[in-house]
Amino acid sequence: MTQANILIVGVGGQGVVLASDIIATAALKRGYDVKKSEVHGMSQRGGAVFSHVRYGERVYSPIIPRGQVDVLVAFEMLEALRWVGHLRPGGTVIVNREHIPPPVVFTSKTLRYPSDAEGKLHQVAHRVIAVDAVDEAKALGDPRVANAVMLGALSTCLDFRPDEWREAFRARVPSATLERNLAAFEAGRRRRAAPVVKKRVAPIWNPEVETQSREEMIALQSERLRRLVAYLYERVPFYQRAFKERGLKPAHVRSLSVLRQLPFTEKDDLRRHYPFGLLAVPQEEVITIHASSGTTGKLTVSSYTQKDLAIWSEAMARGMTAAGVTRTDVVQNAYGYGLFSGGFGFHLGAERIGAMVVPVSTGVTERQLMLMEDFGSTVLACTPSFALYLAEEASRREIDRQALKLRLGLFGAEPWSEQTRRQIESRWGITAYDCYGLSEIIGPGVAFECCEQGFLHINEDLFLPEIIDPETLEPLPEGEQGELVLTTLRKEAMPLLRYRTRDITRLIYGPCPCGRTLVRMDRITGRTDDMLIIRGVNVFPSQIEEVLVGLDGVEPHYQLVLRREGPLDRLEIRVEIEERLYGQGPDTRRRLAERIAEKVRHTIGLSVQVNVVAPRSIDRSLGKAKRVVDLRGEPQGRPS
Amino acid sequence: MEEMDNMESASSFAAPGTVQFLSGNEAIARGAYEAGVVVATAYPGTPSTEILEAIAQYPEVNAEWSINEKVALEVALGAAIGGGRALCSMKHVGLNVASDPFMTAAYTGVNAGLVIVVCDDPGLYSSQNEQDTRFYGRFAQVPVLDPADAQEAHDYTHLAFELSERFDTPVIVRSTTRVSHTRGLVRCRARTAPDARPYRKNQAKYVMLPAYARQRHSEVLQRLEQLIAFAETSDLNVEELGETAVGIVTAGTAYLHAKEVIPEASFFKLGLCYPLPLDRLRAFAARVERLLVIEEGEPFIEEQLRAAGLSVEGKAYFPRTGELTPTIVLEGLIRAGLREMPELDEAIPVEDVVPRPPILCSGCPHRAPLYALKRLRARVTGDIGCYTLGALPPLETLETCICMGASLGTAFGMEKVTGDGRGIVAVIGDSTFFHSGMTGLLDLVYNQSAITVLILDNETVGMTGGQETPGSGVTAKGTATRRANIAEVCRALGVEHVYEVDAFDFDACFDLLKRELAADHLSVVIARGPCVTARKVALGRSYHVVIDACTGCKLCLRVACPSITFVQPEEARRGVALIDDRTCLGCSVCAAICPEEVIIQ
Repeated sequence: MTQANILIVGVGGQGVVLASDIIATAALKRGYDVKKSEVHGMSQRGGAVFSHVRYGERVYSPIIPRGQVDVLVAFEMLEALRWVGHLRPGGTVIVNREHIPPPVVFTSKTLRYPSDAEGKLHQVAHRVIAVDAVDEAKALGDPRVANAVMLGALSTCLDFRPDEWREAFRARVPSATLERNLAAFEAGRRRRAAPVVKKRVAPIWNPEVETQSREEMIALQSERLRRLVAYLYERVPFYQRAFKERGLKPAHVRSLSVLRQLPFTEKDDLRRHYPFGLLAVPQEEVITIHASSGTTGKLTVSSYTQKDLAIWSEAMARGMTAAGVTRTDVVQNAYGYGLFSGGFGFHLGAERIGAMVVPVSTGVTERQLMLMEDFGSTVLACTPSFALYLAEEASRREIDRQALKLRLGLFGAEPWSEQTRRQIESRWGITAYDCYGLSEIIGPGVAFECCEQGFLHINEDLFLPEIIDPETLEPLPEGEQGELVLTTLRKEAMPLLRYRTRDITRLIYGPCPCGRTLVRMDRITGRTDDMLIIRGVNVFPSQIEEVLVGLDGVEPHYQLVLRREGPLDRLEIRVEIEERLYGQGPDTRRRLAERIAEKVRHTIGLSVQVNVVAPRSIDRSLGKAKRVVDLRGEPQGRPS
Repeated sequence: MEEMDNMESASSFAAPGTVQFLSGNEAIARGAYEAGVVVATAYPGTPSTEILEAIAQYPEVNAEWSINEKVALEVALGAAIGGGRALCSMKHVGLNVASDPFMTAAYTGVNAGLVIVVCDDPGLYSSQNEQDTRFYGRFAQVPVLDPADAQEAHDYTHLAFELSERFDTPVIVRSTTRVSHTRGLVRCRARTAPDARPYRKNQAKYVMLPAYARQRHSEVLQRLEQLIAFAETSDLNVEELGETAVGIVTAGTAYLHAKEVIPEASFFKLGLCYPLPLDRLRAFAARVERLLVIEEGEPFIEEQLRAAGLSVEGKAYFPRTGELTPTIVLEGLIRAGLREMPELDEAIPVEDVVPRPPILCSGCPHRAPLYALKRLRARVTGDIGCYTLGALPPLETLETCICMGASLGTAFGMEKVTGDGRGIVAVIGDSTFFHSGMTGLLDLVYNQSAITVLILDNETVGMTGGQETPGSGVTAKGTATRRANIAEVCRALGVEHVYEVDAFDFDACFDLLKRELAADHLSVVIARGPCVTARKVALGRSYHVVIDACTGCKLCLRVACPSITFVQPEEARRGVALIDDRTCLGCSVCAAICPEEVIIQ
């Protein structure tokens, strides 16, 4: 016997009754027996309201028995929590991410709005679909159509056709607002297009460190900073010189307050001491190295001792645990293995947790998808752009998403937006987490997102953060945006003092709802230099310029055009060539373009498209040519 | 999205023969309409309100909001005696008010049919008690029909008119919140014209002088015998024989819940729950091994069966309080050993979450005067209406709430204990004042009270959705009528000190109430301001908090406005109040009380 039980809950005035009317109307038009029961009267004055809708061949009770609700549609988070116990095992919660605190929580000493309501729902409900219904409705110009957005999300859980829904809307909604409501319904329907899996509140890897009080953390950092300064003074001539220039001695460093007087380290310093000039240990103690591209030809090299790798794996294990990775997971590591630190970082973290790592590295799309199916990968680790690319390939190959076990993704190494996160989450049906790092400091693992998403916890017992004004170099107060500066508190081989990341962000102290007390940083909002990040690779325009000026017949006028083609970044280099070469015909131009592309690929490790153009065809009306045209529409920030 | 204004009425205008999706209340209205009802009266009260709203849409029906349930029933009774079928609807406690005419209407009987629809509120969604109306039927020896869903509500209303005329008695159709507010499929019919029953003068029947009334009482008892005989044969009472291990006697929505959780049992469903068909029930009991009564509320059926000598179980397993649900019925069956305990790990654990009691709306005209009373530390007796919410935190102003109109009498009683009426305030709404407050006020004048009566005049019945009142100047049919003036009424009753004040002007409310609370005389303060929710009026531009200047003192949160929230950013030492400009209607109360004067328009 067909029987559907839908419970719609919310706050008086949110449109619960009308939404349930529309569901009932759709069911009636199918010829079902329908009962719809609700509250009127006092509760409608801002109280908790509910409506039961039941349909089937024959409906007896107007009330859905506890534990038999198929779909709980909650217009508000607290109300979802209030009613989630009525859900049947395997039932679905569709919840509007709106929080309407009952005013009593503002004046009561004991009553609180539940923290992490969404996380709690995920803990108890089989399937949770969270919808930003008010945002969607506002985007359509009318916040009141949020209930239609919710119905759109619901519509993909029930077996009514879209035209049946539309007919039900027409029967129940005044014609003046019908179009707006139908648009909202469609928006909600699209929002729910992809399956969404359960998000769990993950345990904490190292609660002793990750949840300690601010006072304890400061004490720990002060002690480690004191030791670090003594260590560097003794072992690294570069730092000893810098201290002496400032008249500083290790004994001066007793607390964090002296930090602002300590010297900075810049990327150029690393280049000048290429490759091992900043080592604090004999070279034989170094057991591995990683590197990232420098501003000019030379790489920026990072060296690691055995202990450094242990620190790295600890940092990664914390971040991956926060995202929910456990020893039972299968981690498909599609970050590049090589000089690039991404692949090894995630590898170490997964190993430390005890998960099974599939070290597939990047590329080889077909094999990625095959292994994902065959090995039952539950975690995908790669750049966000590659995750989107894989998703497109998966749907092109008609791979059944339901057959995959993927449940979460660890993405980083390039800047990405919330919009990209939503795309990845809905296309894969997973929860996507951000992580942040840079090989100069350690690699990935400097900071990571917890279940709250949005902010990244910095492993500040290992990497001490500061925010400075990039102009004055003075520290900025908490909460203000500026350049992130990091000091490695525990590294052995190549510790760095006050390394200028050039990434712009802000810091937020105070405990996080997830339970951690580690300071949080906002997403990177920009750079203080001209570094570009293309498909996870750091590219400085100066590197490309260096290639171009070394070639005969090529003019020093060029333009880098960045586009997003599908999910992947494409770099086009438009460069002017000499008149005589240009005049030799298309074959010459093609050969030259290929040669340039090859050289660039060699230098920066990226395939690029090169277009040679006629002299003076690149606009330089403003005196200076605009070197970089970024059409990707993503924020620019730091890679791992 | 917002609802179509005419949705309820559109569905009530069902074409004959069609199947419509109606609420129980709309179905009752439809059934009465089809039965040829000519007069419908009611006083608004959840969960009964929509019956009159729906029936008022039919041009053939003379529908009105009465001043109270007593008058409503008197008008309906008069109509029935006068020869027109009449419907009178009310909530359960309304019948207390109407019990005086009700008890005696049972003696007089009717001429044309009189149906009294009484809607119980088990679980107290919007009431002050959960009394069980079935006892009134037994009290007055009047038949009680107990529908389970909208179709039955429709059909039983039809039938109730026939029974009323056939047995010359008022008939109660007893609904509950769950019947009244559940929509279901209802097969509708065309309106029929009942047999003409012209009025005939009959003092022995309608004048309840002792001599006549003695005679009528005997007839009532004879009538009851006839009704029992009817119950024994009527198909309102249905026996559904299933497995005989257990037989369940049930009625109303309890039948539906039970049918859902123990469908295999034998059922005896009572459509007429007073008087009971005891012979048939005895026969049913003999067919089953175990007899169980599942009924919502009091053990009304159970006790009668036990008194009849049947071995029966019921309230030992099922609660007497609250609304029954399939889950609660299942739990009772588990206690009765008829169902297994479900697997515990299947159940989803739930934590207790912060409650969300109803609160006064944004822009409510009651907010300023109630907060003024809180500031003045007055002793406040309360009444029935939206302002009853002023008893909840953080306002916590009202100290009593008993029944319609009780604020005046209870306040006066308190004054009599101390001999000092100063500082004592009776708070009552405009509609409640018309309903039951005017007589109380006359008593205060007559007996020389010195309290203050605060009448909150929002020109509507707010809690039930904004129905018309004598003070709004509009009838239930939407036509204009003479508008009652509360101040004039008070003066006419003999109150010397009658003052009107703008309900949205906090300072004016505060000053006036302060003065009158201190005065040693009876005074009436009428705080006037329209119900913004019912009348959809905008008061002014929305207010906002000057964030930088807000000291986070939280005083504005004391007025319990849903538009005001408080945020405590993690990086900030102090939190700040925020006003949601989407919902703020610009009433100005928070701005008036802000000590820093940082809430501005």
